Amino acid sequence: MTLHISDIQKNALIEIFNIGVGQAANSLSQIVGEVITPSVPTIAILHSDDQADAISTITRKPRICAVSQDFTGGFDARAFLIFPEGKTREIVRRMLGESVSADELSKMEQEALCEIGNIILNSCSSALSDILHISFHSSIPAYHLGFADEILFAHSANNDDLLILCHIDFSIPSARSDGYLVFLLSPPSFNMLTRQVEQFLLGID
Amino acid sequence: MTTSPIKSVLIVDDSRVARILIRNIILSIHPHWIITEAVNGKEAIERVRVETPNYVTMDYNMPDINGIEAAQQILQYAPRTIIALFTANVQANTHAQAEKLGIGFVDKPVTVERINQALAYFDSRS
Repeated sequence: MTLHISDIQKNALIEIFNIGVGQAANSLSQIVGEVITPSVPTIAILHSDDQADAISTITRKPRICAVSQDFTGGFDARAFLIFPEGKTREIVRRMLGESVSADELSKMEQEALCEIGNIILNSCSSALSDILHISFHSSIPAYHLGFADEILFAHSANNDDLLILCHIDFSIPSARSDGYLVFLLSPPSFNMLTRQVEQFLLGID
Repeated sequence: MTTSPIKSVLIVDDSRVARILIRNIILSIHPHWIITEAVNGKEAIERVRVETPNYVTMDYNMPDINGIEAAQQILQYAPRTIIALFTANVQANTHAQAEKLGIGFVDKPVTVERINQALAYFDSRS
């Protein structure tokens, strides 16, 4: 399948994701109680051959902690919120507050991260939905811990799946951590997305 | 000092963390209110039959049936129940569905401000 995205479509995608990421950052800021300044997203569309290298570049660490959700509707995608392994405890502690003991914190860390993933990934997809006038249904969030390539591509039915890499630096000062968003799309879904971006561009022309 | 009447709230959310946050914030504002919990829409439907809570906070994205579907079923047999949808899914169509159903809409994440928003909604409908 031929895949092509023009410069203007790519620019539009960056702007759309930028708005989505802004909403996601706002949500994360409310969770951790401090200002989160996301970088402007960079978007790379990667084919399977390039993906392994790209993941190491994104996370700078081989092992990651991730929350994934499947979005179906206007286009289908698997979205990931990713943190480097070992960098999530402080985020969860800030979410739950001082009333939760260290023991409870440890027991609830996975659930808390799923809730954080649910909020952030839905913030982003809701922005896409509003801008592109499409609707999404989202699955229940799933927690993953392990090597980046195994997690990201474990359930990929097709080796030709594309990685739309929306790389944002969710720098969280107190947690000394960065967060990342990654969207995985199949080629047909990618084509649906580019058609919708084209409609969006026609609407603002 | 005025004392507000004791109300009962059913918190419906599949996330234990979200339930803890909602419960803690409500109780910090209204220490004597009665709080119960349901972990999914089906349990919520059963609990409302038995407990008839004044208010319900309803998550949207849950296993089996979503929060809108659960609220719809609850309102069929308990139309006086005041429900606020708590969701990170702020898509326009979700908002429209909540509005059509006549229930409140509160964005996640759960914060003191958002809980106050829900409580104000509950109060306005009581």
